[in-house]
Amino acid sequence: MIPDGLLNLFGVDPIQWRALLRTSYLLLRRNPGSVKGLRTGSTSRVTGIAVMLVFYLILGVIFAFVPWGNNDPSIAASLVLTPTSIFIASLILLEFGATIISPEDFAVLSVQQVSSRTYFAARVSVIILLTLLFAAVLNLPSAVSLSIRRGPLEGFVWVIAASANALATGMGMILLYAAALRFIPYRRLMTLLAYMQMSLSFLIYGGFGLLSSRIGGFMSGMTMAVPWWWYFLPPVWFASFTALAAGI
Amino acid sequence: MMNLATIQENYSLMITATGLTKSYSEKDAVRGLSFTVGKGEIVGFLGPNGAGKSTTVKMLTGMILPTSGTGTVAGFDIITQPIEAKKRLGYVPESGALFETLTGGEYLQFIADLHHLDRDVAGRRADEFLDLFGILTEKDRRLQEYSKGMKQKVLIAAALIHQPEVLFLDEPLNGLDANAALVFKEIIKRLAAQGIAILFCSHILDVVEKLCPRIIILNEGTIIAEGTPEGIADRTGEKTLEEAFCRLTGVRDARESAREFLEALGR
Repeated sequence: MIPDGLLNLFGVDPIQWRALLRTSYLLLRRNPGSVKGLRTGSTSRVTGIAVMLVFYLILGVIFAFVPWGNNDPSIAASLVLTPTSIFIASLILLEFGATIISPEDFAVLSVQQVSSRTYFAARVSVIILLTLLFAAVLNLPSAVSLSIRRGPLEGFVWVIAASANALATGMGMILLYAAALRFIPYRRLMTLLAYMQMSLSFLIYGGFGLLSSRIGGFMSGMTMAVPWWWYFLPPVWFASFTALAAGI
Repeated sequence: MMNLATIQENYSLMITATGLTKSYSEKDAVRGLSFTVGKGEIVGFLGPNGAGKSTTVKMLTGMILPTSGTGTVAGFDIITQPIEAKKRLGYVPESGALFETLTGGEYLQFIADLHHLDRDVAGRRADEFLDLFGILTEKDRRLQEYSKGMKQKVLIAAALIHQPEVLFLDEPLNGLDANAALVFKEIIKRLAAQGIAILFCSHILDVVEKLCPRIIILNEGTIIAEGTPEGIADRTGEKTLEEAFCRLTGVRDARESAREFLEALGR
């Protein structure tokens, strides 16, 4: 937990920040976005967010074969961190868009004595926590795989690279979302995102199915000559941490 | 009968509106509104649909910024000191603005936390309010499972939990059952007696007439009458506030309208 003094330094009210965070957690747990929870009995219930975490953990385990089978940790990290960025970006935009801004928040909070700084700090904190949570399930299996294959230092650096990559993606999405809201009315943006969600569902999940059928040959001993645009992909920048750790 | 000047002299000002205006794409929802509400005063804010009552309340509670003009709540400017003003006000909206997936208890605790209330004190007050309205046993149910009236009770409790100095009530009796409405009206009277300033927006004229010693009538974004219910009726030459309201807001004779409506239905 962040010390109160640090929050005060930035003009954030610690008590309100904690209250907003606690409530966001409850709302997220109970408003799982498009993924519905599973009823596992007459009383217990697995929430949508838990279902999503399990789904992404399975993807993470599949990703773990990439660093296991690839000799170049930097290429392997690029291959895992790029889809991780796409998944996190789409999750924030499509599933957890309401964690950035929501009309419900306005109706409830605009009359309360919450400063914009405190509200913004709480929103950013929620995005950071969500981002790190999903980055963890997507990347920890790869980090473990790399640790076993090449040593704990490289596994540890993978965790650092994955966290930095996820945070950059999360912050980028907040900026993008805020910028879009300056030009597009909220309701229209939501409609646009709903169409995007449909298209991305086909693209991501369909595309991933296609890719996974070819991934075996794709990753075995891959030390490819990378195209010029490769280095313009932000996840590749973070992936290069692993090359540094490997002394490449 | 007390006159208006006497009523206003008795109170120090807790709500002031000075030339409040709100425009939406060249249409004025509220135009140059100026009025005051004193400590311990209950002022009825009346007007037909779209008269600008809710817009005025939203400006005074800091939810939306006025296009021009300003206001104060408990002495704090709503534009330059909105947080200080919001600390001191309670607001009951006309429809449920709640986080529906929280339970009633969680929601009240959340609002209390935002006001820095001690958790034990907040819990005790929340229980008292919910018990008063007869929904204490529903405390741990999610708000989405509540009826409209139950949600309204939670909104009232949330507006009162931090003991505000100023209360804005926008159709607070919406959805309340007769017993709860009775209790709430009594609470309002007692709160005013304790010095809380109350701006009471409602369509229910007889409730306003009974509760509010002073009334402001709004039509098309401007104040068209202000005074005691009796004073307004006298000035319009009508016997009751209801008739005066109809005359002032340009509503045709209610009996005539009803007769024409039934004729149109062939009855």
